[in-house]
Amino acid sequence: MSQPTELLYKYHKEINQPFPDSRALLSRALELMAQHLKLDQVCFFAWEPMESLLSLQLVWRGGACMDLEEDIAVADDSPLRTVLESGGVYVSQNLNYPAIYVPVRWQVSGRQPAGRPAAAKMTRMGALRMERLGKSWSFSSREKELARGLADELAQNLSHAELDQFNREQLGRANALNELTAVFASSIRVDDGLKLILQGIQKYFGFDRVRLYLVNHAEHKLKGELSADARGHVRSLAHEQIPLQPGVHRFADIVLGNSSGDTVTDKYRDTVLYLPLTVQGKSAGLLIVDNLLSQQPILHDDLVSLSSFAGQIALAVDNAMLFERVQELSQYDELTKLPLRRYFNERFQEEMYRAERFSQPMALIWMDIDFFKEVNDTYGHQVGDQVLREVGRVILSNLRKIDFPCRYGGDEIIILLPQSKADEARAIAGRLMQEIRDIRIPVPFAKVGEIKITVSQGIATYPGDASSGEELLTRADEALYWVKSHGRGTVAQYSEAFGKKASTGSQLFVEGEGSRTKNRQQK
Amino acid sequence: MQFWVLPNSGTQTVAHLRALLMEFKREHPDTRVDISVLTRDTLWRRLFECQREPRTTEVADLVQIPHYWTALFARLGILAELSSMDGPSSLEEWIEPLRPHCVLPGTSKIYSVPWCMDVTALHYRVDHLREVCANPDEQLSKWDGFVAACEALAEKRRGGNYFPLENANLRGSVNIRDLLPCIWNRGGDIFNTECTRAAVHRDESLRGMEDFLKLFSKGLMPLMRERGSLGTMLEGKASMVLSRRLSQSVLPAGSQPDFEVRTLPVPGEIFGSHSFLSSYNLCITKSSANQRDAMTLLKWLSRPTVQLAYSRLVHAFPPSAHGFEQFIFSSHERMRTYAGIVAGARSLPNVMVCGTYVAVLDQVISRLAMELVKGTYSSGMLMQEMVKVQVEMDYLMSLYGD
Repeated sequence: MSQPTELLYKYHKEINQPFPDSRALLSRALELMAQHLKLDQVCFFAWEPMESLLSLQLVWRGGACMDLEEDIAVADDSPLRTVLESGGVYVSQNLNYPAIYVPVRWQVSGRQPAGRPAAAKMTRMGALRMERLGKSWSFSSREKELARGLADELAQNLSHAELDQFNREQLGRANALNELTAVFASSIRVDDGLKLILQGIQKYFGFDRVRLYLVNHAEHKLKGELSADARGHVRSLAHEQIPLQPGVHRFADIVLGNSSGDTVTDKYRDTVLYLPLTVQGKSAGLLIVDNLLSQQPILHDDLVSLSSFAGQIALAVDNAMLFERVQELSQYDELTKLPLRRYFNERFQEEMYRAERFSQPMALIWMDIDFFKEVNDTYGHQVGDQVLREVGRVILSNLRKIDFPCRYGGDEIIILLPQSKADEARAIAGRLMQEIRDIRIPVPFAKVGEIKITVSQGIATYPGDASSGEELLTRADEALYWVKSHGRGTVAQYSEAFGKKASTGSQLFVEGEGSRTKNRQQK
Repeated sequence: MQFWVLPNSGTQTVAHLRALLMEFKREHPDTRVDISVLTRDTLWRRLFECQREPRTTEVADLVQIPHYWTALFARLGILAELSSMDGPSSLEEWIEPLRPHCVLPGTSKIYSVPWCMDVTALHYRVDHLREVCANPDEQLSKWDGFVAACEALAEKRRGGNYFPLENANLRGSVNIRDLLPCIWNRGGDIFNTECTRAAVHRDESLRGMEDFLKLFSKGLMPLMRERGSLGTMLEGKASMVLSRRLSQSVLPAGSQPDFEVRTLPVPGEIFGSHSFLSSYNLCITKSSANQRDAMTLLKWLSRPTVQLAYSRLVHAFPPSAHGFEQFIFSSHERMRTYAGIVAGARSLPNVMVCGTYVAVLDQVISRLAMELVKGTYSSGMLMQEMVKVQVEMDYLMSLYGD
């Protein structure tokens, strides 16, 4: 064997260089140790003093490094424990071949699980087990001294390797945050902004799942919004509504700042992270990230990055919500809460395409509030607005999910009824007519005390009455015109008003005041 | 090409694989195979990293995984669909119980193929057991009889670092896979029948776990001792072992013992005798840059003759129907022994949360093992921990149910 100093220098030169990670450094170091000390096997253990556990990480044997497992419980009063804590070399008494344990102690930055107290630097401990299998060739004092020197050199390089790794991870986090910023910027002007934000956080931080809850200050609730997971699945959490009161639910407590550890949060402290979101000092929601599927601890540095980014996340969420609100305002009429004409045109084209493509029926109701101008002129615009509000409410509460109403302009309302034939459209129109007729608008300043409302409705169907979208609108308008010119307050379908049946004088009005039916000949 | 494997034969894993792959290298001299031996924990972490940081993470081309990980990593998009590549289009050539573990549940898409498998059995030294019981085969057929035999052996052979049972756990500790046969023998399980809820907290499951853990608390089996410090069956320092490997695994290569080792099913309880059948599957990663080479090696390793050779090396069982027949019919004794054991074998389901479930249980059981070592373990602790696991797993199954 060469002189220890010479060997140590050689070893120092070989391992004192950049390695991709600490495992690569350890692999090389164990190999060199085996070579310099003529070992058959070298094992590297992690030492957990709190658990009195030596846990095998890596083994070099026969020219290869392998990740293997071996747990050794170290008794409190054992000499091995003394060596592990105070340094030195421990000669194994239990193995039937020569083997020594040499402790390794090094400093690391960060990399603490998020649930544990943060420390700028912490000491990590391990041990090397150097083995000469099946040989009676024990370790000399000089070899033990060399073994300690090799272990110390390894410790120094482990510190550097882990610092490099830590810096690379920090750089990765910084890049993730940069990319997320771009995602957030793009999420401001799209419909599914919240979805993009959550998917961005899940992807760039690599969490198993991200969930978002938003505070509804008016209802005093924490409402579930969305969840995005590692499979790429995005789910609505709309069914989760938590009263924002202390002691009701731990999510509410966290948002209210009353959270204290309990057995549940304690169990998940390494794998679940709760991040309250605030905008301008006001609670906006709660972001929850977890690694429950992979069971990988969320590191303290992830917590720091996410926390420092919480303001941006909250702002991005707020912007996305604001955008949705603006969208809503630009697409919906404030008074009736019905979609506006522009939005209707888009939907109408889509539905028309679907009806043509899949040969499905479709109906359209064109509605007009009778004498609306007179109401405005006589009782004022406030009463007129109230009429519109009430009509909108009745319409929204009487339609199916697939139906699409729209305030087309002034007092004209169009209702698109996908997958509906004439009789279904008539039934809906009849129901609407009846419920609108029951509306009473109080006008206490007028002699009448209250006013009643009636509507006229024209129906056209595809493909019965029209063969295109444009034609469908025209036919419904013509049917409406027919009703208006024949007494108002009723419903007519185009083919009945102008078609064969109508011309032979058959019953025209399917519903009318007091269920009266009128023959158009009478008009 | 990067080939990640589990430590199938401990410190001999690389040596065994190099020996096996010599023939492959002759057939494919231009294909370089770099072997990395990873523990389950490391492999689990690194496969997740493949998904999280595909640009920066070193990705394996060919990977060996426990069979019950297939659904999870296929669903996460980490594994390549073998049946859509030039891979196997059917699973006919593997034994029937292993086939459901190769596909994405609910589909016929193949994501992994079996490479080797093992089954729990009890191996015992006939000479030692005859010292304490007249008819070892009969006494060891029931758990009570087995524990009584262990206690009698401990009494008779006291001292000298002797334990009636060797600890076959590679970690020297205990995990859920060791406990499963006892859980099943008591009528328990970790999943309910539909695999939609956790059942690990139920009385019968807890009783089964207790059965196994009592072997440690009674000092009948070593726990978390220095590997190599314990005697072996060959040295007479142990008399039995509950192992998933073949009986040859308890005897070092080349040894010619002057005693007989016999193999029996795991000692039974009121719900019979069950063994844990586990298969180790091969799969190709989706982000592999060498999928073609990986497929060539996968196909080569799947040849029945190669599987038989590798199984012999690591004392496991060949999973191909042809290889298994060759193995089981190679001797009358073997057929008699293993026909019953394999018939009573059960496996873990290939559902998305199974890998997480096993990982969580292993963490908990590791902590309980520490308590056992310190002498502070209690049944109440086990129950408390399993109730927590059940809550967590029910929640996870509601999120990631197949």
